Amino acid sequence: MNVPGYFVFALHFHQPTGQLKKIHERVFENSYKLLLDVIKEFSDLKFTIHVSGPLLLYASEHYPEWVSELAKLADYGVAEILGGTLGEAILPLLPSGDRDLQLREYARLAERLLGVKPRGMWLPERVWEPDLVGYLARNGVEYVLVDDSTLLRTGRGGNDSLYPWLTEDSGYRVKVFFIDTALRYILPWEPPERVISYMRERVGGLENPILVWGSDAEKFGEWRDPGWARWWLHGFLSNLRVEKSIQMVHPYEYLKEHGVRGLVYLPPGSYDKMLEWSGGFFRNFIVKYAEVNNMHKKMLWVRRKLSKAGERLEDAWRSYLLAQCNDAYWHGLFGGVYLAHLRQAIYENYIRAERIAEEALGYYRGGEAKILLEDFDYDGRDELIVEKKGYNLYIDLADGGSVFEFDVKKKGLEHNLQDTMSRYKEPYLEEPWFRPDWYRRVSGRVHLWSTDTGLDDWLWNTPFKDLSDLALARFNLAYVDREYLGLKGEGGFYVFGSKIAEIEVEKRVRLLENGFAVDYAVRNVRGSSFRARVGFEYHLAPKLDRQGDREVRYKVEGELRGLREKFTGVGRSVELVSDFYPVVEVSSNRELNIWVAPLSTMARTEKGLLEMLQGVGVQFLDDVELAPGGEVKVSIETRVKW
Amino acid sequence: MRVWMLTFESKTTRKVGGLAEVPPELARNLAGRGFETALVTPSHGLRVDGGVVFEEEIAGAKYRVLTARLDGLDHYIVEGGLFENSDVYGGDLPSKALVFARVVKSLFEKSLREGSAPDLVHAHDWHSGLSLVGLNSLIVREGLKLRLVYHIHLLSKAWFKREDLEGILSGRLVRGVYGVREFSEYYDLSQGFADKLIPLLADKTVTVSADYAKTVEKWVGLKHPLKVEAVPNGSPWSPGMVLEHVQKLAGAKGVEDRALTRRAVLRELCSKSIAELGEEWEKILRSLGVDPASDTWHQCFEEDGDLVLSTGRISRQKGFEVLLKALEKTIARNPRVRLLLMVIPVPGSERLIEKMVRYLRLYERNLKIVFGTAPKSLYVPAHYAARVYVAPSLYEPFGLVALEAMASGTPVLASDTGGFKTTVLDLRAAGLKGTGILFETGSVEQLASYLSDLTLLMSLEEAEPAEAGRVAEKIADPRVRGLLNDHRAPFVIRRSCLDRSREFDWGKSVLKLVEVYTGI
Repeated sequence: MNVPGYFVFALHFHQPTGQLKKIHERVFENSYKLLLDVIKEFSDLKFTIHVSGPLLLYASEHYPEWVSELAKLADYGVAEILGGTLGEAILPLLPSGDRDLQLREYARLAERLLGVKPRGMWLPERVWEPDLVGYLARNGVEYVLVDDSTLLRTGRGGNDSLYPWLTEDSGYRVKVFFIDTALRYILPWEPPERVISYMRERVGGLENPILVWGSDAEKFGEWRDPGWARWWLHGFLSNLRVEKSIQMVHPYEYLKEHGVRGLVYLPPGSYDKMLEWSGGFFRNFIVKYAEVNNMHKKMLWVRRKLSKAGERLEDAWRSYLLAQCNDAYWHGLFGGVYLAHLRQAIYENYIRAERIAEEALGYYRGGEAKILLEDFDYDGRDELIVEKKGYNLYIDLADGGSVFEFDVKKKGLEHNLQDTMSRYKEPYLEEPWFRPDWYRRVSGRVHLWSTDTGLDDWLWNTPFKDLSDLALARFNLAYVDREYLGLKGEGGFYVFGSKIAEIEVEKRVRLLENGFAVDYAVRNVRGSSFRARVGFEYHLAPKLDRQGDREVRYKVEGELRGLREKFTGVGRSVELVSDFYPVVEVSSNRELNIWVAPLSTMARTEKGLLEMLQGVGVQFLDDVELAPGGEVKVSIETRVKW
Repeated sequence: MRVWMLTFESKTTRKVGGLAEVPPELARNLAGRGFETALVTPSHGLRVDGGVVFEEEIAGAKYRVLTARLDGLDHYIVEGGLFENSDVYGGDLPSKALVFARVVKSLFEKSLREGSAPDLVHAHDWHSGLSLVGLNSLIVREGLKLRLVYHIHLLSKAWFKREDLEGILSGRLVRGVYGVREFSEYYDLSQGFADKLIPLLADKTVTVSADYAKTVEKWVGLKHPLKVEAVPNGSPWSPGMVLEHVQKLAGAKGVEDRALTRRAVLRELCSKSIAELGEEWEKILRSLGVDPASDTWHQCFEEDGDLVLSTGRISRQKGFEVLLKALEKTIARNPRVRLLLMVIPVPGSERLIEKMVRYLRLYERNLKIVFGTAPKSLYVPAHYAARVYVAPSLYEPFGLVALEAMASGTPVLASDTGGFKTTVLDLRAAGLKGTGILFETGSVEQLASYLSDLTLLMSLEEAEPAEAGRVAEKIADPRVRGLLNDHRAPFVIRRSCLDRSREFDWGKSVLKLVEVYTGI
């Protein structure tokens, strides 16, 4: 008798927290609706489906019929629904309590919207760490899908990945199916017959093997055109329908009948490419990108407040859990942390959760600002954290005394204006003109540029133009009084690598009702006179319109310009202007040279390298000759005109 | 019983640090209990009128021993040769110690002949402690009943060649923890370190705190049968003496109202140079931009605030760097902190001084430093005026400074080391009976956190009762915050400090010492 091999066809539907409305609409039209349509057509077969928390919530609001159809497929036993995490969050990145919450809240959502209690789970980005077992087991997850590369690293290879195994941690157990990498690479990119031929070959001669395909649903209709997707699926599923050596199955059904192969202990892992991008361990992304670390540590910061405020703040917790959505916390080939609208949504959610928690806690009793020195970013050095009812201001003392987070907390305006993105070295960016940023593109840095420095030198990092080390100098909180927070840092002015003058920079930070001001004093303390273009660098992340296409522009010297336009001239202020967010203004107390430029990253897309706008860089410049004892003073305000 | 106290410094002759307090106070209080006591100490250039006991030539230099009655105490003063230098611990210190040992042995032999020899010789720290080695050999050779007590105030790594030590012996045999043996055997056990050798050869070794006794035992070597006992010091200051100084500076009202004293201290700091400082140090400071003789920016606060005081020699041991590093975080929590350091430069402190000046510039509003010896007329009231005294030492055998602060009614934030563990009662455990907080030695984080907590707590002595809630919220440690349940907490704490300081008087130290003497 011909013993069949089994096949799990697991489609993972996901759109991240903060996805643009137009993309949602496109993907639903091109892919999601198409897929349910096809599945209904092949309802005699067995599909496995996971819809991520953010997408399911969005769909329930905007595509309720689609959700009902999915529920029906589950109810009829066509689709086995996989559970997951509410925010499609990478569990190992989360504090332990959040791991439970993410799992529990997704289960509640699936039950409410789809009427099912999932037994299996879609592991976001299949990021596996061995101590997940307890969290999964305690929250009712009986099995997960993991990539076969993870099993391979235990020394088991060949056909071992064609069976589920059991793994254990702290006495808890969970079963694991392995996604077949080779199948993932050819399905759906090779013709259906060739895919089936591979599958047939792979399972041939084995006893009850199970071949698992688990990947993005968007591959059907979004990655390539819908017509092709429909044609491919028809071909593939029609062939499978009659294929005797392969039988579609639901994972749970397989487990009931065949059980597991034995015990394995799996090392941390993910899919092969992810391991390559992350350097072998997903958490490396947190270290590689300061912006990822910033979001991650914002999460930990907000959580402290939420924990104190208690579990009853459901809205706050919901925002918080959705902000943990994985997409912006890493980068492979496309998007990820480089997608400004995703980072924006993450901050929005954290800030909203933070504000609600602060209100519940009566955090600002007495109305005073909180001034804290804490190691916010876990680098072993303290950052200056200033919190007010309307906004937060975070200053990295050890990194040039720069403002790296400026959260507007006002209800409805939640936004981190410092949510810019620096340009990192990426394997696909080999163009000779590309020079990664040598400092994080945030605000409040001081440069002493050579007098021939131009806007593009600043923007694209021409070497040896900044003749001081002030941009990266360590600052200290030197005093606090009723009006100011006084920061001081020291550095030098260099000529051919020799320090010819010792420079002190004092930044007096004033907290305004709707923003902050910095009074800068750059002093030549001792040494020789020098000429320099003193630069005060700012970057702003404009609030983007995720619901439509409304534009943000900037206004300088009375003229409105597109964000991608550059400006060099003389003036006192630059404003970000849109009709959906208050004006954000950066202004100096005296007329100075101003440079404005788009801060763009180069991203690889399906359509080649694409410039992605991350923010607007503004630099105020003063050409001076500084003799020993001399100083330059400038005061710069950043205000959100709510 | 006749007792000789050997010491290299005494407040009756030359004083450098806290050690100078101990031998004369012990001698005085022993005398009060019927002991016949005399201090034996080098003159360090001090001219004393006294009768010449004898003269001796050592290595070509002439030394004389004089008797004198100073400050109500009998003294033998050793002068001449190496002791003409006024720098107590300067010059060739090992040679000074060896010469002193030879002179002390000659003095002892003479007193033996004259029937006025002591029954017990009590030496303080290794400089005078080497004398015990010489006397020990004499005891063995002559079969004497003389008892030897060695008192360690601060361990040293002073090291000697065997030949040099043999030069002070009266024979090859000595008596130590393993009985009578060849000197060379004890020398080998000590590897030549004075502070291992002397405890091995003394009849009893004592030190200033139980915690430091363990340190001494570890240093000598735990394999040796050595039990070091603690004889705590007495407080050099009494609350009455403090008030006298306060009254002189700020009048009777200053005694009643510490804020007035504080303002008087701050005014004084802004008005003129107040400290005594050697020319050499002035030069170093001038090169760093501080002119202690003519400018006051380094010691004059622009604004009043929560005064915090810390004092001592500028050395790594005193932990000033930990304190200065903690300042940033302290300011963030309590911007009104005004940290005043009254510090004395000593050889080797140049780099630390340079750092201190950098910190001065950085924290110009919150940090001021008096370099050099400040006059008592200001030094004492500064203790009274402070909200908190900080003793951040990395190690501190006893730490008289804590007792001085407590005698001024000022709570002490001290590192959890040595004598502080005995003298300072932690508010977190003792409640309002406490006299300060012990933070983990060397921890910038803890120092900053408790310095803000304690200054905030103590600042309520001048605040309206309604302020208490707002201040309480800023106090991080709930155990410290809890003290505010009693709205008079700052006043009660100050009283507890005074009470605690009274528990450390020299009479009590001597009781313990007599126990040690009679137990040998």
